[in-house]
Amino acid sequence: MDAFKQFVNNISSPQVLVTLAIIFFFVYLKFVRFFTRTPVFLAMLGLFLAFCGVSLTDEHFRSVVTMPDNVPIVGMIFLIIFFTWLSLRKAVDNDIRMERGEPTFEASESKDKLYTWPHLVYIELLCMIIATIVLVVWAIYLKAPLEAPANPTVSPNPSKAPWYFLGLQEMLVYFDPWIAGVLLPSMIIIGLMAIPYIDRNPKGSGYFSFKERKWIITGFLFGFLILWIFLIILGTFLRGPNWNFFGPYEFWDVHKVVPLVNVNLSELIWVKWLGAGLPKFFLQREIFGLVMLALYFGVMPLVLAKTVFRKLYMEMGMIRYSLFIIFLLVLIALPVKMYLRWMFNLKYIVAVPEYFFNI
Amino acid sequence: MAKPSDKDSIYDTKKLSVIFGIISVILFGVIVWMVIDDHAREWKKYQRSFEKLQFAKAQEELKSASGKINAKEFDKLKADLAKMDKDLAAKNKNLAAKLKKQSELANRVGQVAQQLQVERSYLDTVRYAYETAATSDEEHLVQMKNSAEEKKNKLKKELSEWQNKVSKNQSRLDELAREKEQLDAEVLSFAKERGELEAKITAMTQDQKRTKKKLDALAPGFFNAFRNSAIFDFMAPTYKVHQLVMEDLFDDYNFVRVPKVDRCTTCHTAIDTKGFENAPQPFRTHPNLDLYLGSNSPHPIEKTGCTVCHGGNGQALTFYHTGHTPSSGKQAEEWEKKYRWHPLHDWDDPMLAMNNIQSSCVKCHQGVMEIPQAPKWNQGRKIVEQMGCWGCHKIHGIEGIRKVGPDLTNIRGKVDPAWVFKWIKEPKSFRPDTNMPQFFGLSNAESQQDEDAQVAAITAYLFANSGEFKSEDVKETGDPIKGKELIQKVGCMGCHSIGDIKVNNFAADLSTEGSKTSLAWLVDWLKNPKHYWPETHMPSLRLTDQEAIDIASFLTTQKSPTFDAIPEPEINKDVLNKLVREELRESNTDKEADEKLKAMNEDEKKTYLGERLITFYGCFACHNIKGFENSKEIGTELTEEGSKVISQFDFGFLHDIPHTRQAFFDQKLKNPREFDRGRVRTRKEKLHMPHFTTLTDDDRAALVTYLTSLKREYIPLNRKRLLDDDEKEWEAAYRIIRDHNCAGCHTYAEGEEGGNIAKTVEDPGMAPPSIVGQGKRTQDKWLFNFLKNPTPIRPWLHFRMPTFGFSDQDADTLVKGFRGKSHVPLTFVDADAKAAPESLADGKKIFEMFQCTKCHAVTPEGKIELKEGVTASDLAPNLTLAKNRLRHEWIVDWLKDPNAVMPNTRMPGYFPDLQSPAPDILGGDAMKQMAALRDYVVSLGDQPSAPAPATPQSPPPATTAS
Repeated sequence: MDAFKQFVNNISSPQVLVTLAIIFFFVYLKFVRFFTRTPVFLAMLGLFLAFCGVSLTDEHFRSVVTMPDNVPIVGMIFLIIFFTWLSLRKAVDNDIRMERGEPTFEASESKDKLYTWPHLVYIELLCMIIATIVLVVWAIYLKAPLEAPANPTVSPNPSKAPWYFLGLQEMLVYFDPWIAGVLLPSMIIIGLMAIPYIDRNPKGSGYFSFKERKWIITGFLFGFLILWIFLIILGTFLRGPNWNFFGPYEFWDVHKVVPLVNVNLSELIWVKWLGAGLPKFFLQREIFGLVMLALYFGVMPLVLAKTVFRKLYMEMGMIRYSLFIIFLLVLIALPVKMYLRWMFNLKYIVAVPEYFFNI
Repeated sequence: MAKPSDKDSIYDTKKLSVIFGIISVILFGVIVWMVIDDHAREWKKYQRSFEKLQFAKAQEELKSASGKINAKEFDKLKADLAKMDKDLAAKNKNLAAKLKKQSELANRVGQVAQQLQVERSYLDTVRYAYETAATSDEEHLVQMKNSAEEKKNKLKKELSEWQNKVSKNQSRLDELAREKEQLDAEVLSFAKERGELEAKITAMTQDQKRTKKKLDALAPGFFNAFRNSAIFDFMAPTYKVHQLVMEDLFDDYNFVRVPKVDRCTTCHTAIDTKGFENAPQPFRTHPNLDLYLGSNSPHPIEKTGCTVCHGGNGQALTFYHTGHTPSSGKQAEEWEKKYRWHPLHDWDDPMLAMNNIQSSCVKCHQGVMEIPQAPKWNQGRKIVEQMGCWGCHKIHGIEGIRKVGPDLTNIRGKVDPAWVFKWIKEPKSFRPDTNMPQFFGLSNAESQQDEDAQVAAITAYLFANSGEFKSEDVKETGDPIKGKELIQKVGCMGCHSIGDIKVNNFAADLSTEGSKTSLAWLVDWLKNPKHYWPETHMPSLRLTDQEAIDIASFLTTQKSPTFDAIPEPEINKDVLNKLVREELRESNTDKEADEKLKAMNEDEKKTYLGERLITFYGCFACHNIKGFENSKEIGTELTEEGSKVISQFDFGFLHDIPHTRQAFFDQKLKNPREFDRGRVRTRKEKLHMPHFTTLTDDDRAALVTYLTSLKREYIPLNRKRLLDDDEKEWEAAYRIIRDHNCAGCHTYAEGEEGGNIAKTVEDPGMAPPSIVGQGKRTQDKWLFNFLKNPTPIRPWLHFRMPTFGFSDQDADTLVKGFRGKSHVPLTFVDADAKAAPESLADGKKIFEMFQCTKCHAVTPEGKIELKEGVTASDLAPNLTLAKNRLRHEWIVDWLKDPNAVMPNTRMPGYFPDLQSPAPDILGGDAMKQMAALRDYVVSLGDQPSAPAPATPQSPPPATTAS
């Protein structure tokens, strides 16, 4: 048991966990028909529950998971698992139906008409009552986690954002505050608003289907599950004092010391590889980073339009394609930067502290 | 998913109804649970038990109240009453008729009065109407439609009718009332006796009735249960939260100050009620109601509340959230079991454990060295002053005191390097009770060789930077035996101890002085301490050369063989080089360091290293050292240490002590280097606070209390205990009194410990006088001169009042302080004022009658000899001094009741209860006689050659004051 805990603690680092999550994500979607089968789902859920159950015997795991602040996130994990499974399961069912030439479940179901009362309203009433019961019991059992009066000289450690912002806070590790705190959230909101204008494909409208919208669903789920939900989970359960990363069975030691060795791209190239000093003028100094950015956001879309996304480009036209590709590249930039950090200790690709501009 | 069939579908309404039924029941249950959970509060449990306790107590009271009623007497009274009623009935047959008439009359009066009231209100209305009509302007009258005159007249008529009616009825009512009065008086005389008897019975049973009423209110029953039940308890519950709101005391929530709200009394229900002293907690009465909480105490509960002293979260209502703090590990365990207690995390300021409670006093009692009734805090503060904690740790409020350690700028003239080396290395090996702390050989120590090199370097620096001090050569030889005697006689023991004589430990123990310094230095020091060390508090005892030599030669015989036997180790050159190089390296490159090291000779290396180490260890915090005149405190400032948040204390890897401020302080004092345990640190990164070896457990506890008290907290000025002018004067004087250890020889204030030196003499008459009430007793001018230049008042005492070398300012401060302590205003009495000759003559008569000369000398040269049957206690000051020394009004106070002025004095009180023993002088008026006696005594100062006093045989003696 201890060996297991030790092992889990040892592999618990953002790079390993994020990589594993990404691999699992793609494998799951690759074999989505297998994984969404009810017995497989139940078996996996069972395994996960067993893992949680056994882990609860560990004092440190228990203290983090049962913290009144964190309990809703535990609930969220199960809700996400269930609803992701449910939607994919329905999509897969429909895919099979369509392969057989049958109408989708939603199409066949909508032939029958039912009255709103009692069929809908009754269920809503029941849900309301059950939700009330759960909330009241929760409120009785777990008291509001009030803390000491705020003291400007004492910051709580760890200082954590509200749970729904923990994904953003995790991004702060890898990005300059104005990117992680301003640009990315804005991009997310604008991106979500832009979806109906960019994606005008009528397929999958009104019914679940995976096969018909494979790439778009994969893309969306990657952004939602990996870059948002998974980062919230990491931020809640595995980020401890000083925003250090702790294994699930590790004591949250305030004094844990982690080396800080990040360097900027300019330093990496000028100093380490070229053995020269840093140029004084910032444009010269950051030239490599700027070129990389130009390549990524300027040249890459063109190349893609000519190659992989050729068909897409033809369908979408210039403006919609540009918007789409910018959002996609920003989305991908996130894991890219994370991996750059883990592999090269890269701090910023472009660092111009003179003007508070860091990427 | 297959298309749902109607049968087993969730859409089946019947099934849904079943589910609806089930969850509705669950919801109901959950709501009930919610109400119960909300209703069941921890504090109600305590109020319920308190109610039971009160009930039991009331029952007991009822029992004792009933027990107090003497059944026999009670029955007799009852029988008397019955008999009286019978007698009355027989005697006054018409009483019944009268009583009937009385009640009728009362009714009638009521009726008439009521009628009168109605009539009066009509009268008022009509009067108003008439007045308005009579004075209104035209327009108004037109509005009334009637012709003005007509209306006015009608109203006038109406008014007079009503006036008549009212006055008639009024006179009828008056008559009736008078009639009733008379009848009442008649009836009363019958009833008076009976009433008295009834009152007796009532008095007898009133206690019983009162407790019964209380019992009824407390008795469990439906009504009480109902008003305390859930939902209905919003109306008038007996269980409720009690709170005290202090408008001018505050809780500081960092961004806002909120008036304190203390709800402690919700559970500590009887905290300010007498009678629950032995009740179980939380119902016990406060142990000191006279000082705290009582309405007549200086800290009444409604103004002071609880948390301002005790700390904790006053608004909370559970044992845990209020922040109770156990006083001991045992109590903690007990609480864990009983209340599931654990330390409160989310509150910076949990309650103070009882052993640190005195740390709260200073919040309001500021600017004083000692707080009344806070001995622990006082002790803590005194230790901080004496040990010189403030030398390294800045503490606001302890500033401007002389450094606690001796001046080292002339060290060469006093000791030799070998002694200094051994002393620094382990001070207690030379003098076990020294205040000098231990820097070396502690738990995080470097190697022995390393430390030896460090000590040698410090020693080398001190000697290299010492001035030349030349003690005068001593040619005469001293007599150690005489010296030993002198040491005990002249008063050295007022501050020092030696051998077995340990009554004071203010200054160094002299038992091993011979191993330290030379005869010549000692003689020089004894003769004039300020020669070697201008700032020393050591006074001159006005020793003659021979006396000084005798004492010095005795002290040089007092050696410590064990200390002398400690060898001075060889300093390892490599280690020394390594240390010097380390220091050089801090501001030099490797190459430069090597070059500089090479260029230094052995002495230079040591001196250089010594300077660096003195900076590092902060030796200059306590000692004057050349080259460190302007160095600043090296330690953490402690001014707000008690408010420092726990997370800012570095407990290191110490998990075996609780992580509280108090535990940290205690550990730091117990072994200051312990927090380095398990740490990898370089020599200079290590903790280097020294270990104060002489601190006892008690001292540490006092220091913890003191440190806890160093808090940042806002108390409005009107709530602080501000010193009045007298107290301020005393506070200033007390600084000097403490610095010069006056308490070593004198008791200076009532109830204060002092005058320990008296323990070294058998005869209490040989002890230095008490100086309680000094300000009342002596004249300012005399005291000022005496302090600056003492002259003997009691020539028989072998102890000498030392010459401290006070500056004019210090002496003045002392004089003012004594006056302030005695609340005597500044006066300008003419000491030369002459009394009337008659008064002197009467005074002389009384003086002779009382045989004052048996104990007092009355000529400037006069002296009363000690001989068989006359002990020092029988001797008293020369009365020729009185004129310029004593406050003349004090002499009368003294004569009135010597024992009240100075308990246990041998001066007899000649005027007990202001009755004169001489009825024939001055008409036997004691006050006049005392005044005359005073005048005579004062006049003795004018008679340079009064007749020599008769030698006393078996005297009615006295001791008076200095």
